[in-house]
Amino acid sequence: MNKILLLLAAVTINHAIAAQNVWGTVSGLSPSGGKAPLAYASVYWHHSTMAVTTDENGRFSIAAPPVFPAHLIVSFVGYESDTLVVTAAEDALDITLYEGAALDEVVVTGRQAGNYISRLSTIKTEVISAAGLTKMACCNLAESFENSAGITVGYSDAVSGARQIRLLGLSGNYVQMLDESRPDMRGLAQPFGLSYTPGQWLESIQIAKGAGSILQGYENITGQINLEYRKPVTPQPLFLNLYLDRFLRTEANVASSLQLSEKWSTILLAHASIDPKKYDDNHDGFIDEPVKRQVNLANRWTYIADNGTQLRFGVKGLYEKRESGQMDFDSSRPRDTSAYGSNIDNKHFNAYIKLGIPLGVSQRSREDLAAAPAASNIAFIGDYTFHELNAFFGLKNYGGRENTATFNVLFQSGFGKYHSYTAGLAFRWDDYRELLEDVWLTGSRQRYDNTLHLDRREITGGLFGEYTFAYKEKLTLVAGLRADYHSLYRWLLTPRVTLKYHFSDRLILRTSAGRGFRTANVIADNIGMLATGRKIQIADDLQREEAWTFGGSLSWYFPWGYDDNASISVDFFRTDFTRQVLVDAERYLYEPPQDYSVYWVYNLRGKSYANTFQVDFNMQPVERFTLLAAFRYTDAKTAYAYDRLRERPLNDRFKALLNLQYATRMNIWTFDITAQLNGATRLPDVERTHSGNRYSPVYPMFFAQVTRKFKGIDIYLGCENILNYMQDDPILHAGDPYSPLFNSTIVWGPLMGRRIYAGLRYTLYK
Amino acid sequence: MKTITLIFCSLFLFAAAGYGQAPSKLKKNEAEVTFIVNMNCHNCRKKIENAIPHEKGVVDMKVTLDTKEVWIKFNTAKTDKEKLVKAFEKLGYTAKEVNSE
Repeated sequence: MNKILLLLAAVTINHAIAAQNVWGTVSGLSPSGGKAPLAYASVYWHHSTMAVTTDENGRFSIAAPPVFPAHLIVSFVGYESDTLVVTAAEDALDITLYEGAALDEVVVTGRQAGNYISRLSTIKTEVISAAGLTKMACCNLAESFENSAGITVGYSDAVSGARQIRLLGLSGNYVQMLDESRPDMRGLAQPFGLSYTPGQWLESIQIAKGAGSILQGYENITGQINLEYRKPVTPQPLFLNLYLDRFLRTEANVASSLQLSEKWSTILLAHASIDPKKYDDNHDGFIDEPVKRQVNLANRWTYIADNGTQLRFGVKGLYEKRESGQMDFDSSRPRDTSAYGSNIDNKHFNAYIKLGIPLGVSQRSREDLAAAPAASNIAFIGDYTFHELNAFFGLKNYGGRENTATFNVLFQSGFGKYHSYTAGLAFRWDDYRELLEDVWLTGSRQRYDNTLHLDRREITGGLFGEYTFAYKEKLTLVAGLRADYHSLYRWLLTPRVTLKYHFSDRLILRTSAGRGFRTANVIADNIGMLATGRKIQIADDLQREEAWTFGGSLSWYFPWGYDDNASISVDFFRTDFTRQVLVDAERYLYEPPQDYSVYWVYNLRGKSYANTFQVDFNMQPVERFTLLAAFRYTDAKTAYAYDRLRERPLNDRFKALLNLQYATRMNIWTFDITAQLNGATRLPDVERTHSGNRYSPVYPMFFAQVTRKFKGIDIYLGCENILNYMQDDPILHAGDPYSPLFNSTIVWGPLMGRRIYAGLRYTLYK
Repeated sequence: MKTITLIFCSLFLFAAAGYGQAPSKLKKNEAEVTFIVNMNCHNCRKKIENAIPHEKGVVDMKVTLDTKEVWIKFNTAKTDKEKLVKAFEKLGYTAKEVNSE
């Protein structure tokens, strides 16, 4: 009874003070002691159009909402948005925003889920949060996706160990990788790129399927994967991770952030890893995964001025060496046709600078301002990348060097209550120097060679604009268009549209459509071709790749389970290529006089498409126990050799996934189990069997991990591939590596057996 | 294939089995307390969740940022409310006990 009275009293009081204002100050970052006020930050109530911006001193005053408690959202470009719960028009609110992500969305409080479908983003976005990144060993980016049904991670071949992802049933080449919204892992960095981002450097990963924003260029076809790194300004100045597994892979990661002054901060990210030992568990004479060494360093800086101007810049450097091939290969001996060996060296360097300047409040009346907090700002982004890849696979030699420089200017503003836009200019200079010394032996051991110079220079300049119409919490429409003038292809016009509609709070529809382009980097995109005994025949009229992607998703949140917040999401996407570069190992089947021992690279002449259907289900049956189940089905077909519509080879037809996580009280112990069922893939007939379509078996994979939390330290122990499932003979004709039938690209399953690992994470809190 | 199906089914059963468990009751020597803590961001929450569970005698804790409430179940033989308040102060927060009837 007392409680009811109290409640009544509270309600009455709340109504009484509802006419008041809620006020306070917003500060950026919290250096030791002082805080810098944040001007022009947006402050608004969730589920309301009431919004204000802070003044020069970071102060704000906003009309109180009709009912308390209410969620107050505070955001500012480049900072992690925060949601506060205001229970009454209490004393001045003192709000501190930490430097965060540009793509970051508002996080409404709650227990952090590992993987979830973002409710607020316009494009369907799957977020792998910091919690999700600790569910598995996550040595590198490739392993971070094991808990995602939408993405399949595989190998390009069984020699180089290059990991590739597939999204929407297509190769990772069609996904745009972003490093905090800057394109990354393009061109020659692509084949091994997934192993260049240590999972422990990341704060979160956002996977946006389908046609995304045009702001990052025209190269996104099936989706965008954005990586958010640990930030220079964090409340955790030191993070350390050590890892060791059964195969003696040893890894160390450090993230150390330093607040130099109220304005300057920096973070140093370091990674070193070694896979020192040769294993041949499948007894085919070949090392199962290359012997590797990697050193990776990054340094990022942030400067934030009093008026909100932000400067960010950073450098990243990487060196990686891989040795692979037959167990008895000795790289110090001259190369001949005795033992087959492979050596791959990668060097990578990147430097970037971003400057964001708030242009003050646009000329609008105070009423408008209160309704639409969007302030104008201008940003300059410069980026330079160098990548060098030197490799040999048996007798084949390949060397490539890439220099890329980009420069972008973006202007962001808004008008009226519901409108905002971004417009900009983009410039890119790409210089590729590639040399392939293709050497192959015929069945009768006759030696042939062919030297290919694949030099290419692309200069692109373009204009773009993106308009957003956001009508309350109901409807968001984003329409973008860019026109780029390309030195090889002339004008490229890229339209993209996304639409988000809330039928209700719990039912959300998202659709998107758009076009994308890219230039195929034939060797880098298909590095596995080098790990075969075949000749590589590249048509000399190769065109750009061009495709339309459209699709949508429906997400339904319903009150079920412990926290009354279960969700089901269904999506469908289709990609249609209008131009594509095909790599065909089976052309001899349709055009019999053709040589069977050739990889043909030529332009698509007919149809090529991929349809993907996916369902995700998330719930919490009991307290601290979460369940994620997902299923994906893919249908990808391409007209090879001009008119044969065939299923794309080595593309899994489905993937089913179940992830269970149970945590004891206060997350002292966390248990994770993941089960995957991987669908069949069509195996290309590279051995002249003429046996029609053959498929790889459906196989399960199990993962488990236990984490124990101590104060500041997490210790984890886990196992990947618990059933010790391995593909039987990933290398065809492994006993005769110089024959034209030698082929290591037919990889559909795990190359390594059961992997038991242990590691620790140490976090220091300020 | 059969074993795979079996494993998947048993995983689902495992998931379903836990459903509907009753919340735990106070044991002997256990008490609970709810504090209002002056935290208003996710990072404050992280900081609290990293430290308080490892304080001596803390058995369970729930942080509700929505209401700024931190509920703690503790072992009365090992700690008391004053010690818990001090633990919050050490982290730079103030904790006031909520009087519940």
